[in-house]
Amino acid sequence: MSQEVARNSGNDANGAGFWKSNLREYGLLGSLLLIMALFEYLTGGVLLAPVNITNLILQNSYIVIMALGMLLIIVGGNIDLSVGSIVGFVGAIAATMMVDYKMPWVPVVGLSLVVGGLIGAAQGYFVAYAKIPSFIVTLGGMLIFRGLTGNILLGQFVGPFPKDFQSISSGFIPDFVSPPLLAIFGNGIGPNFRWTSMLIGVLGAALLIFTSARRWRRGRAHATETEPFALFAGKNAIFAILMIGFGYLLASYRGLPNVLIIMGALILLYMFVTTRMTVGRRIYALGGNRMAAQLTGGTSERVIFLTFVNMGALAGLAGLIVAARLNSATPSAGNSFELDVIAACFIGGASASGGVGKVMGVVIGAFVMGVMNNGMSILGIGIYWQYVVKGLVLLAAVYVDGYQKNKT
Amino acid sequence: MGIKNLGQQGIVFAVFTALFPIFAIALPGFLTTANMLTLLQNVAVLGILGLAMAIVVIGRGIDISLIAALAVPPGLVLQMVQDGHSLSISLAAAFALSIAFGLVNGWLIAYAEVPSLFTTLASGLFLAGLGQAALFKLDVVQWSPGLDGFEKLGQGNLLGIPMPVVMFALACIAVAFLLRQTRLGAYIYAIGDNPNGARVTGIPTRPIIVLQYVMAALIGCAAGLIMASSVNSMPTRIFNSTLIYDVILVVVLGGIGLSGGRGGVVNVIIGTLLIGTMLNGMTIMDVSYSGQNLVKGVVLLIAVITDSFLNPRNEETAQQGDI
Repeated sequence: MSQEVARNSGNDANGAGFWKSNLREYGLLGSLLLIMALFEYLTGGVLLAPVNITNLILQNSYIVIMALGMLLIIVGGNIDLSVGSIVGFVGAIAATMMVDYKMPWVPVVGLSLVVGGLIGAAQGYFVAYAKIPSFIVTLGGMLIFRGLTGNILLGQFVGPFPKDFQSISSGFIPDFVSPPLLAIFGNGIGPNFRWTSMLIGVLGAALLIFTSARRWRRGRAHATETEPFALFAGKNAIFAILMIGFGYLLASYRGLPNVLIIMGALILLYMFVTTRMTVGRRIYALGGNRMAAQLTGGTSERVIFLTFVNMGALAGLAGLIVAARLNSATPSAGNSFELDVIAACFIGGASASGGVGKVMGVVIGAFVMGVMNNGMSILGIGIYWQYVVKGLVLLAAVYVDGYQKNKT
Repeated sequence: MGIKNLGQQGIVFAVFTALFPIFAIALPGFLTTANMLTLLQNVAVLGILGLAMAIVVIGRGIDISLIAALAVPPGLVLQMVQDGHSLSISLAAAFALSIAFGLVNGWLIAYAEVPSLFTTLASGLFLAGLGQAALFKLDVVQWSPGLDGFEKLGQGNLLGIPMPVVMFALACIAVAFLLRQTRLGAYIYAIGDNPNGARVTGIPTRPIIVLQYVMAALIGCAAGLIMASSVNSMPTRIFNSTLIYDVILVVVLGGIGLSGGRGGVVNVIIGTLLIGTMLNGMTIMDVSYSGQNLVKGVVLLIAVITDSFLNPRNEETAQQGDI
């Protein structure tokens, strides 16, 4: 009995502690919801209209994808300023191969990712093995690849691309189950409703609730630190409602965009890598305390090198997506993307001193920026006021980071 | 002095001394008095910005918001004079804005302990946006008659030397004096070398860090005023250009390590001379903008790679806090 009481009180204290130590994460999610609600109200419902949700995803997919790589770089205690230039460069190479040399698009995609990875490897070599600060190496990389992009394209737009390639960015997943369901539900919900997309949304929500409930119960059973039930239920309910809601909205337009599938798969992959795989944990250990990580074994050089290779490949993928979306490679593609990507990481809770940051946080961070950009554009707020607001949000995010660090 | 002890500034200076005669022989019109004056005039603003960056970098920080500090307060001066305010009030307002901006930067970095890269990234965006959205009516703030006489700052000359060059020289002397002859300068080196150590020995690190960013903002404002008066307008969209990377290039090429505590005014001058000569030569050769970026990047990488081979980093020499 007394043991029971003790465990309960321990749990309660844990709950409060958990709430405090994860305040930032919940705060972030809360602010995303708040911002969405605010702009939904201000734009009179345009923000969450199906067409605009689709746009929002298309506009932010490449930022999210690159932010996944940048997170690992920042967690490892480095920075990569060259990603925007790699986007432009890989886009230019892919366009040249497809348009000038008439290569089929599938090998072009593969080659482009390899090129991105090689660029990352070159920069990673100098950072990890030659021990040159990443800021300088990638600053040089940024100038070089921006210059090469200009020299390849000679100031011109290269395009258009084959339809299949374009659909990487502008396509939607095919619909399989519509006719039978249509027969059952009739036309009550609209003839063009994409049932596959709706179904994926519902399945995703169910899967989320199932896995996180299992994890939570197991955590409780092992008396490890778990969130209080109300918080746990609330968070998952919000995520589930969001997934089903967005599934419904997207389904009533043209279905899930292909990019969303790519992005979703990558998010899951990187969540797995950062929380479940040795290499992921090593990056965090390195960023947290390099000396200790080296002394406990493992070669830090190789891990840092790999984060750069990974970043290069992801930037290459983003370059393909951007090129496919614009249906041409342009000399200015990817300009100042590095700032958006770094900002997304930082709003998402990655700490510049390394060792801290979660995949979900970074994704939310990217969408905080994305929703604000999109909402302000709909409202017709000038680009410069958008700078002001973005700057303020970033400052608030960095201030919270500093405030939390001082507290602990 | 063997090649082992050459250091990066030595390499860069050697490259400069090699490049200069090559340009002088190969490029018609390079070694004329007119072109030399243009070269110096063009690099003066870059060099002054380099000095501001150097003060911050030596204290182990970085200031990405320098271009916003260059564009917005001087733009405010031009705009206020255009709107009928007197020059002195406008200048006072611009300096007040610069100081306030530097204080915000410094406070966030020193007291809230936010990394300088992120702080200045955000604050620069904020200030540039604010200028465009709230302060200026057009993208290019034009000169107005109320400013007559002030353009001498950019277009006049002293004993035949263009005013921007004179200003650059004065700024060099002032910053060199600050860094080498005053207690404040010694403290800045100490903070850059070992922030915790500096704090433990009783140096008021936080106020000094704030002061660094205030000085950087004020020097940026001065550079902006010189730039505006030499072209009779303030193109406020300069914030979108890659000028900030040129400034970092000057500092890094000159041999001021981003890990802080090393280098000085001499390094800024060397870096500025090389970048200025390169840019001028490439402009004469009619190299495209993207070609220039390419060359700048390659030169930067060659410089740091050579440095890392001559002075290899290991656990002892690599400092924590290298970006």
